[in-house]
Amino acid sequence: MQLARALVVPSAPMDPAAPPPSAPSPAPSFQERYAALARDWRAQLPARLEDVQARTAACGQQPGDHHALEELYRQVHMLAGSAGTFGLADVGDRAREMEAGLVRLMALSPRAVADFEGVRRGLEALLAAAPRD
Amino acid sequence: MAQQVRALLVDDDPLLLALLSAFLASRGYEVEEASDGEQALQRLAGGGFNLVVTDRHMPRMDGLALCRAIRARKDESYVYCIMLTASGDEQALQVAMEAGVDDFLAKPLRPADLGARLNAAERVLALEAGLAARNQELSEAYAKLSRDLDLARALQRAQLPAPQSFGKLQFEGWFEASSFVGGDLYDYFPLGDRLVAFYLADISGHGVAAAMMAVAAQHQLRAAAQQVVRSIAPDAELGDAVLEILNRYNTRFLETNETGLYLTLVFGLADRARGLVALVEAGHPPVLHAAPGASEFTVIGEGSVPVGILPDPQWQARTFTLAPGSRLVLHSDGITDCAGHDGTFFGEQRLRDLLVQQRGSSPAQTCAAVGGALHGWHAGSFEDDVTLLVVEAR
Repeated sequence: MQLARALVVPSAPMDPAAPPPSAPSPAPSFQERYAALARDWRAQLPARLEDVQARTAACGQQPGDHHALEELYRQVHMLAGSAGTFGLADVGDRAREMEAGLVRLMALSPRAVADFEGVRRGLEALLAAAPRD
Repeated sequence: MAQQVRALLVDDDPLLLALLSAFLASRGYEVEEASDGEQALQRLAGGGFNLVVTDRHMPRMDGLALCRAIRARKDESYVYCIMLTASGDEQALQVAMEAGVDDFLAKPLRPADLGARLNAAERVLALEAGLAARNQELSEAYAKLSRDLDLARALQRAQLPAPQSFGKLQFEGWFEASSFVGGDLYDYFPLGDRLVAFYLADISGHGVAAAMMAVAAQHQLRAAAQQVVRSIAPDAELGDAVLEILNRYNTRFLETNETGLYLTLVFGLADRARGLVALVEAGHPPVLHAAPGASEFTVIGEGSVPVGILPDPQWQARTFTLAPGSRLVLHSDGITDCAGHDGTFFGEQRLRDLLVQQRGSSPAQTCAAVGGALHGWHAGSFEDDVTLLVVEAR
């Protein structure tokens, strides 16, 4: 079952003196699994925001690079889709606003550096909504 | 959950994928994962999935393309598709439905919403499974019925007489059923050394009931003919004998028929010694007669009551000489009423013209020519049974 694979938790380093493993503990409930995934998501959030920040800066310098813009859009779209699910609705809302700005930007041709201003403001709002802890 | 659900989750966000997987597994589903549409299609090719929950935006192949590919697959059981979407995007929903998506789930995901969607999916999948099982039963029943009908058709054809000559009278018939079995039949058989009986009958309707009645008619007409010929005086009028056969058969038909079916019929007795033929026409298309050397066919029969309608139908017998070189053609209305591609009937005149063209041909060649012309006139299987009987005096 996929759930069994998903529920594997990192084990402690092997210790030859450790007692033999006991019977497997009961599978965690969905709520427990959800809480664990939400913790993981929040732990990954700073790195993901840094990635979005770096990609936004790069796209701003090369406005004609459509592929880079699409990848930025994909990262922001994933944030927009998952943030609310893992309890950060405000981050999700801001990500969705930035996502909408990127859609408008991608429709422009050619794109100028100045066209990125709206996306940059969206990024600032997204960063501001992220928890500080 | 009565229906076992095997779900494929498709999302390029590993944590969302893990969350969905945990939720679906908690409902007892068998779950597999894919990170994009291409990977999902590879998993689906293995078969067995009946639910796909997919994100819309993914690298390589997105959710819309995935759903279109799923719907384009042939001979696969139904896969219920749920698409994860941003809330409030009505245009996106329309596009997704056209791509084959069954239901949507708005992000951010809420377990209660997802559970409700999955409940709906389970209902549809249960209906689908029931329908598939029912279709399987019907397919098996149809296959069995088809085998039975094929056998019945072979048996029915085996009842028809082979081309045969009795003295200087030559008989040849052609029959094609509109479905597996039909309600037309023809027969010819000797009655002693002197007489030959022949007839062509058309049971109302076609299919199994008509075919079974055709088998009964063949048995009963032969029995009636033999009884009458045994009982009449050697010098009895041929026409009286034919009428007696038909009246006896009609009486028996009315006594035993509870189906509401009836039949039209042309029945003839030929006296080989005297070169005479007597015909009774019971509600059947008229007999076509070509005298020796004549290129045209004349019509014998003026319309009358079919068998199985009235207890005393007042049929008339027509007695005439069948001189060497003359020809009789009996046919069912399936030939003249055969509709072409534009709905035009083949018609009696076209049949008569064809028979004139075939005047110098053998009865077998004539039957083949009529069959070929009808198949050229009407593509595919006929809508009614088609039957032809040619009697040639040499």
